[in-house]
Amino acid sequence: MRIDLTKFGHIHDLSAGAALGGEALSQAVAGRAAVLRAKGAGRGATVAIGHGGSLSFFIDLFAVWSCGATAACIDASLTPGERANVSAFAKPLLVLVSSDAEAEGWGVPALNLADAPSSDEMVVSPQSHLDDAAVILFTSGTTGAPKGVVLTFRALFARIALNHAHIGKSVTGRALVTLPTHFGHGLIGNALTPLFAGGEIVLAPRGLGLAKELGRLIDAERITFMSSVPTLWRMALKLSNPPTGGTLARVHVGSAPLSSALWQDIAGWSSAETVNCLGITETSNWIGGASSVKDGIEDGFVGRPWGGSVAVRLDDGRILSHGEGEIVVQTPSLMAGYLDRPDLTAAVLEDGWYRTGDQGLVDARGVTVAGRIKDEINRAGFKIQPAELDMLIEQHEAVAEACAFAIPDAVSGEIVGAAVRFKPGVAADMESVKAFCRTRLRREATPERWFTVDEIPRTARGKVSREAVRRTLMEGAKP
Amino acid sequence: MSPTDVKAFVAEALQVDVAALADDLRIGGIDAWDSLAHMRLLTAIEERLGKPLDAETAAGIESLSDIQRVLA
Repeated sequence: MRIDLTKFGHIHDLSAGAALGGEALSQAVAGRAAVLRAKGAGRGATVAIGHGGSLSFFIDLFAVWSCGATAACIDASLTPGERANVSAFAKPLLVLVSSDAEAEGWGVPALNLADAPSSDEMVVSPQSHLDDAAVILFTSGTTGAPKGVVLTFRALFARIALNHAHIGKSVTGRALVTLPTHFGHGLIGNALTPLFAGGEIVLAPRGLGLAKELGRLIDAERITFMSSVPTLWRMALKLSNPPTGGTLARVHVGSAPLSSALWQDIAGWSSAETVNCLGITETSNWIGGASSVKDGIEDGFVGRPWGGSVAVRLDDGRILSHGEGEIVVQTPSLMAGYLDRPDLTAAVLEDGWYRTGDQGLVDARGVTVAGRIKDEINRAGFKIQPAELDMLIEQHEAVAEACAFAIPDAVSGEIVGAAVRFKPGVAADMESVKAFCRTRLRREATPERWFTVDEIPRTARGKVSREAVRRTLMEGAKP
Repeated sequence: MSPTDVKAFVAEALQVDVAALADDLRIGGIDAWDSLAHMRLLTAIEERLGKPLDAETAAGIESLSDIQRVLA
């Protein structure tokens, strides 16, 4: 795929102390693409990128694309077991890494392209097509059956063009990237949208350090635009003084519910137009948003769509233009489907509508999200499938049954709890179960609260309800 | 609060056993004390103090001894 990288602004990598843009970026990409092409990367091949959040990640990504191949952007913090599971499913030709530690576990050759020489000659894959897969982003299934969202170049370009049209010129300045690049919100919304608009991006170290330094960083880097999750803001509002430089024009918040109180606090701290976004990886990230300035601040309100349509699906399957029900969307940035999982794809794509799993209201003003239908845990914006955790925990030799569930949390929104019933006659060694999970699960998916139970609490009808488990254990028992 | 009481307080906030808390423990020193858990810890400190921490004080809390100082 030909992408004119010479029109991109600079990518500033604060951790590496490096920056690259325009012609030099294009030459660095051309050099790495030549190596990849020699290794067989081309149309129809998938190249995994097992590192992220850096200038080197973006050079690798654009190199994969210029070969006409598909980039599977994978969380660098996966355990070796999780890498093996995802790799066996995605079947990449090879995996690109940035360190020896990242090379373990993939089951395919790992390659570090950091030393590839730049090249003046950018060879463009003659066969690449707009409807080829550009990226695969895994939203779950690192231990169980993987769920990889396949986004075509057409979907990506449509999303980016619509974002430009609806967001405006703030993205052509300097955007602070606060989110992981294996995450649709971080990659497409926060990074590619500004880059394709000719803007610059600033890649900052994440976590507590970012929260403490946020105001100072916005001033020092003259940031005009940023997007993040509510959790970062809960941290930054407590730890950082606000910016004083007046550069920040627009803030997006998404990937988890944003209360009107926090929304108001962010708008006050940032002195910027603050937008509560509706975005889903399956739709190439943001598909709409409500502005603190133009729309007003209101619990769950995410405004009108940025291109495409929204409607509600009733329990009987009817789609209505207005009303309450499951939010469904049609958008040119919709995924092609889940990688090699037509069963999962069919469950969410219905007559051209994508079922978001969000319950809410659609009216003349736009969309108001009331809650989730899907049974997932949202820990600081990261979606975790509890059934996947159940199955992993039940692989421990002493566990008879497990039930993971969401616990409300003031910082993360939700954290992961797990109820465990041990097999009769074996020692109830929870420390052993925790250790078992720590070596097999990335940090964000590992349960933080554990409960030993004689029986998994059930509803009056005898079914396991994760909400019933949460209520019983959090309100009636001690961990 | 005594050092023993501070350890008990932190252990409760982090959902770990007191024995896991070394005297010189800092954020990141154990898996349970990650950035999100740290924020929960700060919230617990504010509840104990009965008032919000200002940004400079909150940002300066990074270790057990810092918590001891703030709760003294």
